[in-house]
Amino acid sequence: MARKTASTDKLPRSLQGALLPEQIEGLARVLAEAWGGKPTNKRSANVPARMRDAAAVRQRLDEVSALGLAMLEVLVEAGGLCRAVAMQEILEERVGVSGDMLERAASEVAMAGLAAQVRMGSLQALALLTPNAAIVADAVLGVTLPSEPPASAGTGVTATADVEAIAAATMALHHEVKATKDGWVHRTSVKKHARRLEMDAGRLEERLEAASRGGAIVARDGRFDVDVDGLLAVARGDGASPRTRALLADGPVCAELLVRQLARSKLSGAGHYGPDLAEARDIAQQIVDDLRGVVRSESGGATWLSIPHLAELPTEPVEGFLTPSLEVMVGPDPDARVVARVGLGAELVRVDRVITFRLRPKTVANMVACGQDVGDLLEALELVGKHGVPDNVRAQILDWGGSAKVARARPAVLLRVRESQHDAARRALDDQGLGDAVLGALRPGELILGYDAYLDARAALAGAGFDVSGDVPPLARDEDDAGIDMTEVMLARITPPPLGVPRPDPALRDRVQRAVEDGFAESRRTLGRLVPKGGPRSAAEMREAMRARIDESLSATSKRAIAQVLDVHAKLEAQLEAWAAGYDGEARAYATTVVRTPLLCMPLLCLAPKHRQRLLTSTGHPDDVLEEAARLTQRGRLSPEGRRIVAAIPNAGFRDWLQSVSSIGLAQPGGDDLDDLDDLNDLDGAPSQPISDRIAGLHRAMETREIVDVWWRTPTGTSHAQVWVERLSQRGRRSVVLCTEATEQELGRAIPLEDILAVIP
Amino acid sequence: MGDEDRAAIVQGDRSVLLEVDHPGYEVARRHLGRFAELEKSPEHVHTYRLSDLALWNAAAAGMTEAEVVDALASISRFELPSHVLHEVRDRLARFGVCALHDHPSDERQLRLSVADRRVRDRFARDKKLSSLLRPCPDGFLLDAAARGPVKQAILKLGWPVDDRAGLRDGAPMDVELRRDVFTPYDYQDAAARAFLDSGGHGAIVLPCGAGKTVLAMMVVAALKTRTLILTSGREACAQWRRELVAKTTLTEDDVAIYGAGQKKDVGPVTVSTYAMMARKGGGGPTGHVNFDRLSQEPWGLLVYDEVHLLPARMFRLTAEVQARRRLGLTATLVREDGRAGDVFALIGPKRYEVPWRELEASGHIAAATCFEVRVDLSDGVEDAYASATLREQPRVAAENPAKLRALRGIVERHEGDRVLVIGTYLESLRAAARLLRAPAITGETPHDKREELLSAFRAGAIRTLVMSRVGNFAIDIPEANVLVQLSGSMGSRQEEAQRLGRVLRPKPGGATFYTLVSRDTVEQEHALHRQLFLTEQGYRYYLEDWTDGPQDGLH
Repeated sequence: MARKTASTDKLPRSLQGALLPEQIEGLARVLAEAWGGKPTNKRSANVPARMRDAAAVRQRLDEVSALGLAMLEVLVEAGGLCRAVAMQEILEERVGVSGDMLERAASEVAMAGLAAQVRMGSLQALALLTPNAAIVADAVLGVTLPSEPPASAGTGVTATADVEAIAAATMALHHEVKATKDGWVHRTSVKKHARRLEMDAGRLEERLEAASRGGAIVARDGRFDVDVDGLLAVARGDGASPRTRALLADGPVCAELLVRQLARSKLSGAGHYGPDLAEARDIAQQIVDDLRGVVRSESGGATWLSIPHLAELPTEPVEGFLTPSLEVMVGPDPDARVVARVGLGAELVRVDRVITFRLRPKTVANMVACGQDVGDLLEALELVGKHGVPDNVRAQILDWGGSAKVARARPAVLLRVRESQHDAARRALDDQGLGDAVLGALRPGELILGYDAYLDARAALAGAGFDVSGDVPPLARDEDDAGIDMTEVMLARITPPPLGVPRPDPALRDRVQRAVEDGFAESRRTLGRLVPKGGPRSAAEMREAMRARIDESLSATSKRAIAQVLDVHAKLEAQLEAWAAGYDGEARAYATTVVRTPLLCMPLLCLAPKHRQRLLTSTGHPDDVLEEAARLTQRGRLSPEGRRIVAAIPNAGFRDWLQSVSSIGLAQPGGDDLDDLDDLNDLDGAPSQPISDRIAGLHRAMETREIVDVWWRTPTGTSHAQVWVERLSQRGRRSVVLCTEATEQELGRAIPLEDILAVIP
Repeated sequence: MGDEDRAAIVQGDRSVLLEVDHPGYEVARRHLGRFAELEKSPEHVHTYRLSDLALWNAAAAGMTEAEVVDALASISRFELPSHVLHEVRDRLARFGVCALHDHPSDERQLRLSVADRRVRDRFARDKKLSSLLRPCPDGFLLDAAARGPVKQAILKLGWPVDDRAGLRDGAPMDVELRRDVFTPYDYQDAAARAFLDSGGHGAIVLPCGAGKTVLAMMVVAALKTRTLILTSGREACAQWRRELVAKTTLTEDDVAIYGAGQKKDVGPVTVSTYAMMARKGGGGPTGHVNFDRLSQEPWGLLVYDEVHLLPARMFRLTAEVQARRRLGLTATLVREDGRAGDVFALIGPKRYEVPWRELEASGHIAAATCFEVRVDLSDGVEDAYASATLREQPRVAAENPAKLRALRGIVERHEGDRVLVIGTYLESLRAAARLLRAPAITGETPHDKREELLSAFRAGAIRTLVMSRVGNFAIDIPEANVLVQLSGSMGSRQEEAQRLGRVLRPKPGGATFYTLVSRDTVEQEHALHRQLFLTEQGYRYYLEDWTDGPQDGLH
């Protein structure tokens, strides 16, 4: 009878590479102790359930020190897993605490069952645990941020809009400004425009890139299009990206929050193995420092950012001239709002102290085609100079605007019913408040439905007895959110914190804020009590854990080999511990873990004594020592015991056993039920999302033409990009292919829906 | 005056925006007039350009680099862009590097001195120049006949030639202005002085109706030398003769017309046409019979009337006469073929210009109101236009029969006025003449008949006259106060301006100019381009919708 303990008989996939089996044993033990289960119980199924109990989690959070809460906050920002080095760096900067205090805080949150101390490669790390990760995240995210914006926030200095970038952006409405497949400005095509404007090509490219970053123009189908709303927002002084604008939409927020969220977004694409959080923070800090179009104010030692709420247009005329020859000269020191409005209806001619535009029939038509009114243009032109709009210019603009031939496409659904049932279908929709969803009727029995309202209309018709079918793209919503089988997942990779101002538990935040003020005096006192006695697991405990995993089905040879490993390990324990003690800091912790884990130090155990001795007295990094040991074992520099162990490895049973404890295979998605795929959502740092949300997210993105973050599975792991969703084409019953134009990836990437893990707006 | 109070803004492309309503405008204008070229002069802002030619003219007039830079800095609201300063200094430094001199001993040769060795080397390496130049110690020798081509080629390389070689004085001629008949305006005096001070070659730009003929007569009277006047057509020749006889002491015998279909007389003042000069034939040195014949005469001055019309073939012939004084006259310094640079390299740079609206404000030309009247395509024509090729579309739009109804309405509106109807396509012009019961002058109309009709119009016997393109230029009909343009030559800016010029002679009540445009056709785009010169001069076009009658009045 094989001995299988509670949490290792079906190992969580997300633990792969993060924990060794022996460590899982330890984690199970810690969690069982923390949440009141018994590690030896068959499945400890009650432990995850308790971990999901919000009240219980909240109670644990109350018990955790303020420093522990700050640490959990970092962990949430990092997406559930953070290296100890990065954690230390961030907390030192954020709350001014370092060293031993942090180690104890890490032990504290681990002992409280709110996180786990794990190993990432050769580095120590702290990880959230899936069952309570979301509860922890909601409660602690933002605890170290100032609670309320001061009254003075929002009244600081406004960064001026980049007028040249705005002027350059308007060019994209009247001329083709090419984009590379990665969404950058096409350098060669810029040269042509630069020649026309008699402008340095490099400077023009720079301005266009700035406009693109600010959201005034967007790359699409190999060219840049003007995002009119984005352009006007940037011109109003909001040079921040749409995300930043959204974040600041409800009022001033602390700059630190923006830094954290940006840092998190930098990390999310790279998973746990990309740049660490500290590195990402540096990048984010730089971005926030360089942010244009936000109002900055200092208060309470913090910087507050807000969007300047400028009027659409200035109230007083601005310097400039408007000539009867249809030339518009704005400036010097042009107002960006006027430049944007004028540029939408006129062709940029020159960027200089005075920015010059020329009104043309085509440019006015372009403006009308993108949904702008000639009245808006005239309103802006009235503000240029002191003399108003010449009569002929006004008449020309009205004439051109009136004769512009404009057509706009929007998706709709053609619904066919029998002519005799036309009224019944209308009634069914009206009864459900969907009368407005009917855009029109081509003829009796053919209704045009708004694409957005299709699902609701379909449900309404179904409710009225219509059997609705057709090849409309798969908009079906899955009513039941299968979610994740919590019993299978122990370490959490959580979804990046949602965009917006976090609302942490007020009591927890108050506690942390007070602690920051008094230098975490309370934490210093309480942390000592919570640290478990005995520290990390001993070598003997680790050997015991390995012994417990010996399967009855193993051959006698294999069992002897395992026993041999454990014996040698016990015999060499003192020597190996001495070697580990020779290192400092993290290397020491790593070496200690290695020497106390028989499987990790097996090459050292098998080496001939003289070779082992030589290696253990060298000063190389622990990994180098282990690598050299592996090399020597392959070259036969073995002790007699080592020779027996190695000889036993080809034995099928022993090899499989070794493989099973050192590498856990991934389950493949079962059947054709897409909901099963949710089980894989926690792979490699990808966020988790129910399938219904994914599908809805894709449709929403396609409809709103906004960039979304899409995570998908690749043969080697996961990948992630910010993409425009271009098209969804159906394949089979419930499988579709997402065609995107990725702004940072190659054009037209097609990703089967079954590989898509999450769609985040 | 603080920097922020100054009237001019110097842009990076060497253009200078000058705010007209600014208190510092006059001072700034005086400065800019010395070293910059006026490009556009709409109502509230004028655009000057620090062009190479303008800077070289300033240098030729003795302005130093420091004076130009200081003057510019004193009127500029902002610090001067550094690269503009650099370019200004560089261009000014180029003046005087190359100078043409008479050969000390051989009048068939000229000497080109080049002060900079690197420039000399560059000329020696230039394919075209090296075929015209022969090295000598401080530069090159060249044939006197190559004077024009050499100056043209050197200018293309970016250096001006200070032409100090002698000009032929020409045979003397006794002539005075008849100041009892007229008094020249100040601007005419200033323009004549600018030309004479410049050494005797260059162009004067004055609006139509501003008295360019009088200005030429003032120059002739000042130089007192035999003069050849080249103009655009026979009617213009007759006008010149009439004016010269009326306003100078020259008699009809002194002013000869050397024209087609008549005895080719040569007198102390001879008036001919570009077409005559460009006619090929004969065994003369240039292969142009009339040019070869006339170039033998001892002219001391050549006057190029409507110099913007100078045919391309005349460029080479003009290069042949670089030893004579040359006066170019025009109202529109634009050419649709982009060869304005060549014209002014050979005739000479612009010496004087007065903005149209300035003369209008001072009452020297008539105040004009311009209308663009939009006419829907007639029912039958819509289909024809839709199926026409791109090449055919302008004509279909121009001959839109609905324009005739609009024309009749406009003429009725101006009952009692003297109305000129002008257009490009003969069929519709004939139809217009029939509709209005008015005579028409086209290219086919005999010269005598033309003169007769023009005289009748001037006398008031005819109040409406229809004209083809022959009426575009150099026809002096001061009595006309309304002009209706039925159609035009594509997007020609100078044609539009010249046609307006037909009604700009000062008169009470001003002038009205209508251009009829078929709605939603290529004509609208052409009209926009045609109007560009005038709108840059500050004229405004009012849009009027015409269906069966004007619908909305002014927008």
